[in-house]
Amino acid sequence: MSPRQWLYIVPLRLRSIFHRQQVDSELRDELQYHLDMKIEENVVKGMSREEARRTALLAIGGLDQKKEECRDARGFRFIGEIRKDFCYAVRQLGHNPGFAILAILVLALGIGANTAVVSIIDQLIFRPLPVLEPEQLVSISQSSYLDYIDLRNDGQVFSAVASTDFAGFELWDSDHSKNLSARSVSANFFDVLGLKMAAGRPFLPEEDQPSRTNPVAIISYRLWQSMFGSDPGAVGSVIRLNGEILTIVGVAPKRFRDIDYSSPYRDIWVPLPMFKRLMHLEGDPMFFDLFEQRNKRFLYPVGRLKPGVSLAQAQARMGVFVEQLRRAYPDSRKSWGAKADGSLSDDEWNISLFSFNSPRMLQKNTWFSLNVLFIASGCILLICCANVGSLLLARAAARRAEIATRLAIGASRFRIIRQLLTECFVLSSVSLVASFAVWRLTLQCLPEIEGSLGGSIGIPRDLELMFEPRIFFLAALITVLANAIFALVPALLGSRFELTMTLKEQSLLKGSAAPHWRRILVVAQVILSFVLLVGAGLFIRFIASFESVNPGFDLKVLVVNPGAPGYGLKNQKNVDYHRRALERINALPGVLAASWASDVPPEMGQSCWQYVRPEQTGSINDSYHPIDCNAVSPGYFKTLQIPLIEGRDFTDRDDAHSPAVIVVNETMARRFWPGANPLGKRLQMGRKLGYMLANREQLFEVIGVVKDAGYPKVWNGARPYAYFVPAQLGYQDGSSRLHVRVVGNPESMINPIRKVFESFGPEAKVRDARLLSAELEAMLSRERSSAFVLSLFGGLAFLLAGIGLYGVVSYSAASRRREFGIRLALGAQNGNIVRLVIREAVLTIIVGLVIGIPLSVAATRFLQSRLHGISSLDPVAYVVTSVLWIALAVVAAIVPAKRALSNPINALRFE
Amino acid sequence: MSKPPDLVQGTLDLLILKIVALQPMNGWAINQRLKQISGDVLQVTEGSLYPALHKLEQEGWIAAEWKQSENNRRAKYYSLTRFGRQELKKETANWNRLSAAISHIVQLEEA
Repeated sequence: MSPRQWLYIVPLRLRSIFHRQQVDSELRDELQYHLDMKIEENVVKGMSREEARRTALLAIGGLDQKKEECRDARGFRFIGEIRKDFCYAVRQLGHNPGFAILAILVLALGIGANTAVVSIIDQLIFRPLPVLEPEQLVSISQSSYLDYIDLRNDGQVFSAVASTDFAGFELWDSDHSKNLSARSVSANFFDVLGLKMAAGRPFLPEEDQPSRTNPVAIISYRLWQSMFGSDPGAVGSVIRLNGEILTIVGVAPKRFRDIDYSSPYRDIWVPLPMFKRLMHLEGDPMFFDLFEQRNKRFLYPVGRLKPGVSLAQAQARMGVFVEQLRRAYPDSRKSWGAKADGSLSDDEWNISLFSFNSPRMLQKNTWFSLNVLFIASGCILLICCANVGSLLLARAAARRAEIATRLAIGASRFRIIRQLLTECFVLSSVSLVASFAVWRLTLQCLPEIEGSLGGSIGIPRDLELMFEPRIFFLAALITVLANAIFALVPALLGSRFELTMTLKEQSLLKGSAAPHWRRILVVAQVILSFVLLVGAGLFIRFIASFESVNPGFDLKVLVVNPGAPGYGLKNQKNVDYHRRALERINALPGVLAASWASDVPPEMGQSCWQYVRPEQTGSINDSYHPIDCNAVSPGYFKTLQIPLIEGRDFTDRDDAHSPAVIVVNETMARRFWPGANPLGKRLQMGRKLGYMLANREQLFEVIGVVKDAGYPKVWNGARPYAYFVPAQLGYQDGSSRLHVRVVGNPESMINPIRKVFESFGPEAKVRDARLLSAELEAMLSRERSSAFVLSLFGGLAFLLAGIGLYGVVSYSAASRRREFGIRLALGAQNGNIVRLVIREAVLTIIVGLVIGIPLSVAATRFLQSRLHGISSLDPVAYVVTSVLWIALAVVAAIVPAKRALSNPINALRFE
Repeated sequence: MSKPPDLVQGTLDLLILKIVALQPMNGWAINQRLKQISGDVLQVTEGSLYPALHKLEQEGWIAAEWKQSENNRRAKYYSLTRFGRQELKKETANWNRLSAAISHIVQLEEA
């Protein structure tokens, strides 16, 4: 049929559907005209008017019948019947609201939760960054500032090269009320990425000069909204960060957060030279020459390939380029670089390229948590489908008599199937709508829940609650498939039965195919939720295992974070401030001991790490080794109750002018000086900034050995750990925390401590104060959130499977009432019968467990790396979960069994 | 029974198309003409024409229009459309082929 003909027909057909009344009245007039003419004809033939009319009607064969035939010809009936089916379906669901509500809720839950997870994954991973032609962009491995300039001027494969510092940094606003995530970028950054400013301008080329101070900033769209209420006047205003005054010159475009996916949402960008200034590196003996040294590779450049240049071609060019550099600057070949495994090597000077959007950018933690989330929600969806499936099967079984009757009074099989499909469609549509509520709710709550558990996934707080057609289609597809399979299969089976057979079966209540299917679905649910619960169990076991371990320090120590008063203060003032604050705190009544420390247990090695090389080597070869360290003030060991085994603690006389000293833990002493007395041994130190390392001339002498502290199992074994005095390390860390040991309730000391800090002016303000035990909880947040997600989903699945099992057992027990009655009549005890029913339920569960256990073993293998010290085969998790299931089976069986026994005589009379 | 018993399946459509091709007509007139042309060979039951007319209208082959009839009453007149003319050509060719083939077979000499 030609398109033209379609254009002609469609309005005609639509008219038949939507202007039914008019079309109907026209039909009536048309037939009436025919009838009148016929009567006229008959009268002419000589009949009386009455007779003529009767003969005419007879000849036509009934006006109404003809009308009906005409409607058929127009295709009215089909439409009308669909409407009727629809109304009937709604009525049917209304008749059985329990079923309808349960099915809709379960489906909505499964679909909503899944679409939410898919939305999150979509936004975190698959949504391309809002940059121009991202396929042209390549990330370039770490380079120094001078390399970057050469690369920019090279111009052979790249049309432009921009750069960022290696990882960004945090800035505090003037009242320490919040910290902002910042990154320094080259002036051409926004132009190279092809970003259009939402307001203001990008950076200017002259703002890129390392010799100038360029206190300008571009803020993110989010910050513009939250801090300035999207006021265009924000451009040109100033903010004070880390003691510097910055002028806002522009606002970044809306969805731009940073150059890669792993980064947090950045709040602010500054020109590259501001990196040195904001990080207070100008006076730093090791990093003051950041922009002048070729071996200080602190930049991540991003290049835009020239049109037609492939990644491989560009990489080949980089090989030549770096070879030229190596020859030109032989000294700079040597640069201590940290490898991914933590060891250090004399890095070969190389430049590698990565395609811009590769998932390597996503942090491992995020991948892991997303995997857990995705697998858990996938399991939930399958369970929900199985659950609704068994509900629909149960319903189909219950309606077989109805269907048989309808077949008997003349309904066609097609008509019955259409009716059932319409019901399925209504159910799907309602649950689809409901699933959007679940989707929204999940997206709103998940970041909060996740945040309160420590935020290991890093789900952005402001997930866009955007209607994504792709995700909608996914949800619709899942719903329709799930529903259609479970509605259509029983429908097809059900409609085949002959009336007499079905009615007979009904009277005997004999089992049919449906209960077997339902049992299989219950087993499937058991298997899936077993996997989830075992996963949850493993994490719970892991968390619990921490409570039984002695960490080697006192968990009741109060940790106070007085903001970052170091920033904006000059060095000596800063040292004085730390000393005076400590004196005042120590003088407070109730304080037993107090000390500054940069690294807060139990997650040690987070804020300070060093590379050391023992002066004279024993078994260790002549290179730098990573150790975790802590810059502490005297009295730290006493405050945390870490036992000193040998030597002495630091004193006030260990300062910038005295010989450099170090206290090491047992593991470090054993590893670096095996079998020898570590006291008096000396080592060389290097310091890392990002992936850069610089070494100090000064040698550090070991003055003491303390017991290991912390949780070796989190670290895959005990790690070397060392303590320094900050002044001797050459930096006063702004993020030092005050550790305080008090008499009695530590919480009661928070206020007096807060007052002490307030007396030092607005720069020093207690940002938070909590116990080390709370820090321990924070450290376990990732495991806690995984355990939470898995137990929530697993618990839900457990419940759903329980309901499913109950349904199957009830049905089976009810259908065996007659048999039970006979057994009782023949002398069986009630207990025997109950046992019979329970046995059946437990057997179903055991089948599920037999499949579920090996599946869980396989599925939880990838958790192993997170479960330091707990085997993924942990028998406790498996046994407890199995016992829970069997208990559920018994509970689900007792009620139906009791009901089946309630009146055995009636059961016999039932026929 | 919606179709005249003597009509081969589908031929009623062909006849209607042919009749309205000559001039626009109402249902009654088409009925009369059918009887008249075929000389009462084709028994068309009163009114059994209408479902066919409605079907053809929905297919877009004939168009309907309310007009004044000869006896001054409003009646629904059907006329052939452009698409109907194509269809008529196709159906006529089909019919010719079919009838030729059938008459060829029935005229075979019995051995």
